[in-house]
Amino acid sequence: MEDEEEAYKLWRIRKTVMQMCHDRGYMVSQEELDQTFDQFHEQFYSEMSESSQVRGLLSMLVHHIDDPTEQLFVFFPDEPKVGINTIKKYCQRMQRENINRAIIIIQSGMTPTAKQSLIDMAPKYTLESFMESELMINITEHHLVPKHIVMSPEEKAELLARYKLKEHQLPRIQVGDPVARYYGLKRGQFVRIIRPSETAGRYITYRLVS
Amino acid sequence: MDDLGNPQQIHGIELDNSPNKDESQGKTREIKIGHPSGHHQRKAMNIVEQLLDTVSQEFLLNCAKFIDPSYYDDAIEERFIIRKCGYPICENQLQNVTRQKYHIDTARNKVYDMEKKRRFCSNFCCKASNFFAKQLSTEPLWGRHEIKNKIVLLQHLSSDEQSSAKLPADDHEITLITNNVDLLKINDEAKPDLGSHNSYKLSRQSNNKIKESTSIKEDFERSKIKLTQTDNKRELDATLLMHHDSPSPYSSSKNISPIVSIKETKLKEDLFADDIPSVDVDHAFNHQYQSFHSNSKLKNTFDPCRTLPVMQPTVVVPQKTDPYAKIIHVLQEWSTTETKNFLMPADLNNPNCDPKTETTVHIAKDSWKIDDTRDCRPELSKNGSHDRSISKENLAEPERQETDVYLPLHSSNYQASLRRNIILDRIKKGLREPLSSLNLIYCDIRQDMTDLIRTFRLSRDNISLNHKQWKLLAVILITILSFKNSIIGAHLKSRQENYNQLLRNLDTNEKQILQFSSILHQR
Repeated sequence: MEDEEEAYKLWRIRKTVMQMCHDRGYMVSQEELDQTFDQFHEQFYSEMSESSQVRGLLSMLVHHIDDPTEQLFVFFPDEPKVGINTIKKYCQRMQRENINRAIIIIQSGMTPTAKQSLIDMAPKYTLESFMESELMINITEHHLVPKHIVMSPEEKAELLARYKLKEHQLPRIQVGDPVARYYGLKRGQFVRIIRPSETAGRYITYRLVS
Repeated sequence: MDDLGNPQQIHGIELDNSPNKDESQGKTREIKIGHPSGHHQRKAMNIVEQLLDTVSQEFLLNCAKFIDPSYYDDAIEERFIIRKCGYPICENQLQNVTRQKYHIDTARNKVYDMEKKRRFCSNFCCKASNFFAKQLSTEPLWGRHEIKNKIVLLQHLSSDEQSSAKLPADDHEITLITNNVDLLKINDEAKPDLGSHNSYKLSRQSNNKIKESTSIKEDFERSKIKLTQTDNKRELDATLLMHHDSPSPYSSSKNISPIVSIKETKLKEDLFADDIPSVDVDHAFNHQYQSFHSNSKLKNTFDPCRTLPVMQPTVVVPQKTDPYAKIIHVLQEWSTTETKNFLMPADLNNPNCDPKTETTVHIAKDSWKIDDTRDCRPELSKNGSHDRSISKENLAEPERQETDVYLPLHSSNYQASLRRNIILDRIKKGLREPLSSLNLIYCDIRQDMTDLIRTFRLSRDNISLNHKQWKLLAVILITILSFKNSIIGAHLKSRQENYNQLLRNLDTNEKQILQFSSILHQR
């Protein structure tokens, strides 16, 4: 029973992670996005005797649609609390495979040292951390969350030219904003937010990530 | 920066050789002042990373300079995650880590926090780690260059402690003596510098005084050594506990290193009724510590962490060889001066008697406050002395709760009243039969009984008796009350036969009962 609950939780998390990767522009097959719980259970639990090791299997690597050399790791550490040791291990793996982005799905928390090490590695390696509980649902599917679209540098330049704006004149969105984290936004990027409006039908606004 | 002295230089080299460091560390000494604190933080993080692996004692001591307690906590946590004992020197792997968060002691109504403790392989490691952590300076990392003296001293202390801790139990005598010599040296050398430290509040004391006190101290240590040699844990404990007996105010424990227990504080005050540098206390602590350690090596159940004032040594209750021994013992434990005052016969026309009784009644009606402060404090010392005497008889009763980390009670008032209620309840039950045969009802004696019990000193162990013992106790108490309360006395006289019958049923006689009751008068 406990295993079943755990499996269900992991399935939900994996699903959200898949959607997240897809929304960020990484290649994720449609089957993986539509995977049902039974399929998930079959794939990961059939040959596994020890359910505690499932997380190790869940780790994955996705390629970007535009540039297949740009890859993203998704790690599912086994320990409830992630320490510097685990981070180091992942970091070595990223170095070895020359990948500079990764998502770590943590179960219950991170030690201060581990957090600090993520910050320290920031310019070269981008490791984002999500709690498992954050990924139980996909927040962008919520009806109160408007559609966010990440803008490319070209679109950004066009926007600034079109409205004769400087970057700092735009409204802002924080890096730590849940949606910004979902899209893995970095400082200086722009998002276009499209939301329904009673008076205008559809209202488009832009945000600078700060 | 030249005045950093030798140790700093050694550390610099030490750290330079360490594998994980970044390049900037070699230049530590040049860029320390005025450098943004980020540098120090990075260094601290580095050290935390290095502490993940088991390190040498020297390395740990050197680290003390560059980290603060929160970084040390991080290191413990990191080590816990990779299932290593939290004490960086210890190389044990953690096995069977308990998932328990709190330990609830139902016998004492106390709750202990297990979160911290389960990160260590043994009580010793827990203790040693706490000891080290307490010595770490809380000064901001970037301001550290001003406080180097303290760290030098603390390294000495902890190195003493750690090196001695590693020695086998047989070498105790040697270690203790060498420690003593070290201590003298440290005292004489370090004193001028240490005087300026606020956090350790050392008294500016003449060298003469130090010598005086150390000589006394040496005597004390010797006595201790002897006991250590006997290798009898019991006896050693007994010497340590001896210092409980002499009453000394807790409040005067000053600003010594917080880990130093009340025990040591008392000890210190007994031995040198004067201010002494806290170094001495720490040192005394070390001694105790290592002796504890040897014990914990022999028998891993004993916890040197017990340093909190509420700590109660287990009272070993005499075995039931003699059915009355327990009763006598319990009565002895219960009785206080208040009991005696309370029992002062009214017909003596003692002027102190009546007011005293009145106050007791008054307290009874009012609150437990005054009553309980009296109840709880003597319990400590009493138990201490008791434990010693028992220990000497070498009664082998396992110290079942010694492994716990002791936390303060959340309400001692509550506990005392709880005990009173228990005992009242038991005695009430025990009284049922005697009362009916004496043609009395409980209401007649309730007030007196409550007041009498209120004067007792109740502890965890002296309120557990079997049915027959309670019955006997009830009769004893009623006899005692009959001397005080004329109504009860009259009833007893009128039913003398029933009373004697009652005593016969309990395999006793009037003389014995009187003997028992005299115990309460003795105080």
